[in-house]
Amino acid sequence: MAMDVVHDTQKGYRTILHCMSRPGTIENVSEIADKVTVSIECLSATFVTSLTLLDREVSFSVVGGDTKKMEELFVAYTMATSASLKTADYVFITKQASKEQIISVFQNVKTGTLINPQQSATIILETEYLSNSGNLLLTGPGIEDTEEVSIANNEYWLEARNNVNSEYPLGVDMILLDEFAHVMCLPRTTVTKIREV
Amino acid sequence: MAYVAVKGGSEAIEESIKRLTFERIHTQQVLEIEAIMAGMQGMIDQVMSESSLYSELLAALAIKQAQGNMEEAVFLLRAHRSTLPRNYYTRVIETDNMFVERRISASFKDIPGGQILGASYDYTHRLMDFNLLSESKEAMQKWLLEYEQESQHSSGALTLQSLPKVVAFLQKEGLFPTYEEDQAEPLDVTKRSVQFPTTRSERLQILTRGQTGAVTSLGYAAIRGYGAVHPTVGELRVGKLPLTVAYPMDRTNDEENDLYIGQIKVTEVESFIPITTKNEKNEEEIEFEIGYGICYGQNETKAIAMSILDQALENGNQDYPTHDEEFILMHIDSVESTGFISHLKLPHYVTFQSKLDSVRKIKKGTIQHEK
Repeated sequence: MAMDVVHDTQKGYRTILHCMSRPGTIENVSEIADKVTVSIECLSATFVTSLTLLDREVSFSVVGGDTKKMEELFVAYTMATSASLKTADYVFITKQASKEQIISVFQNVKTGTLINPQQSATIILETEYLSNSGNLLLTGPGIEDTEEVSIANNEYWLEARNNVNSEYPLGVDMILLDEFAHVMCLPRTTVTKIREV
Repeated sequence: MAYVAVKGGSEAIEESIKRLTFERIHTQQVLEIEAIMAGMQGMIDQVMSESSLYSELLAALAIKQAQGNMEEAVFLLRAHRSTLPRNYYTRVIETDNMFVERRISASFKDIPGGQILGASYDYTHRLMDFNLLSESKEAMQKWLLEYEQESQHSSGALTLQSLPKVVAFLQKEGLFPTYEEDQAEPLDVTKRSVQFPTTRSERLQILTRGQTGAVTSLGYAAIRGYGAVHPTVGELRVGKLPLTVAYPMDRTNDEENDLYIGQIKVTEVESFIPITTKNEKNEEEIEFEIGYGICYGQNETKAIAMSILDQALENGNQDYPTHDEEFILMHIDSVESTGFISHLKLPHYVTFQSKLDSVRKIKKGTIQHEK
């Protein structure tokens, strides 16, 4: 069955919203992602996220791998405009992106202004796996105590994220997606700590 | 804290909504959408204009659902508008290309292209036509047939498209300054909340979606002395504007490939407003400025009032309320003003109790003091 752009993106939106308000919670959008029949260069969960979040009024940028193909696809499906890293509202980092590329995203994206902190970028990062057992501890608004998670290759960007979010309310929010269509969010308010053994 | 959540009453609310439906349908007369669209054009125009959504069908539906209640119909259509995806932006339109249905000037008797009266209430006697109580389809058809035959005999050699603007004619004579076109991207008041001081694009948007009555009243106040404006209608046009969008797959942005998506009916007004200025020799001189008004559909009073307010706000002056942009722009929106007034019906139990409480305390205090 093909994807229902109205109701499936509504479900996708609710999922992202839930994950954003409960950082560390891992949800699954495979039910929707499995319906994606378009041949794409990214994870199907990423494509679902792009259909959910992008429209004519926002801009995006893609980093890593064959970005041109992905950009064309996103434009054709959502009518969003592709923009430079510094001005994009949404930045998609594919799993082909190198460590340097990921770090440069964090160093260059919009972090909002003190009057309008909401005018910051949201980073959508593809990763190999996400799970609720690991050595990364999350605290902050939306987490009662601490949340334990593991995110593949988080050592690539964790420090860069801490730097960009150091001056609240400025910062970036992140949506993490993995190959099993898992979704997890790290809003700018979530503090990460690596568990010491 | 001003409000508390009030629990309960949900059954009463359900019944109230049922009662509303009952009031709408209890006479068992189905009000057809086609009938509203055919016979209530003025109302549809107002609803579309105040909602900033051009759809005669949806406006008629909103009017039906709201039982002809204007503020409710506008609220419904605005709410619907906010759910619609905005996939395309139309090209900028030059109103010179309007297909004119009516075009008059109060400033000059002879204007190039001529005065075209079109359809207007202006020349009627305002007497109740009791024949309309029993209007028949046959009589309508007969009238229409006669009208058609009459118009066949008229010369009909009128140009209605690309009529020159009255102001262009004055600019040629050097009586009006020619301004450079402002190509700045307009700010969208429906996407970003207004911050003062505003830009002209924001002012025009808020004025054109303003409540017809409010815009008219404040425009009137500006002339009557609560402002310093004395306008003459330079040109008033009612007509249709063609809309086009860029072909979405065309990256060249070539206007030749544009797609025509339909037409909208608008009323456009250019008012000439005299202002006194001092020249280099410090002598007083009279110059003219233009106030601009435009709105969806045929709503001439609103468009003229808008043109007055546009000029008043353009030359902001704190001495007059109608030249104060915060006073005008914050209060003419239908949904905002009716919404705020309606909110007074919401439970204010706690705020009112605290007010009562302080009054009681003060009264008690004075009584004890007198003793």
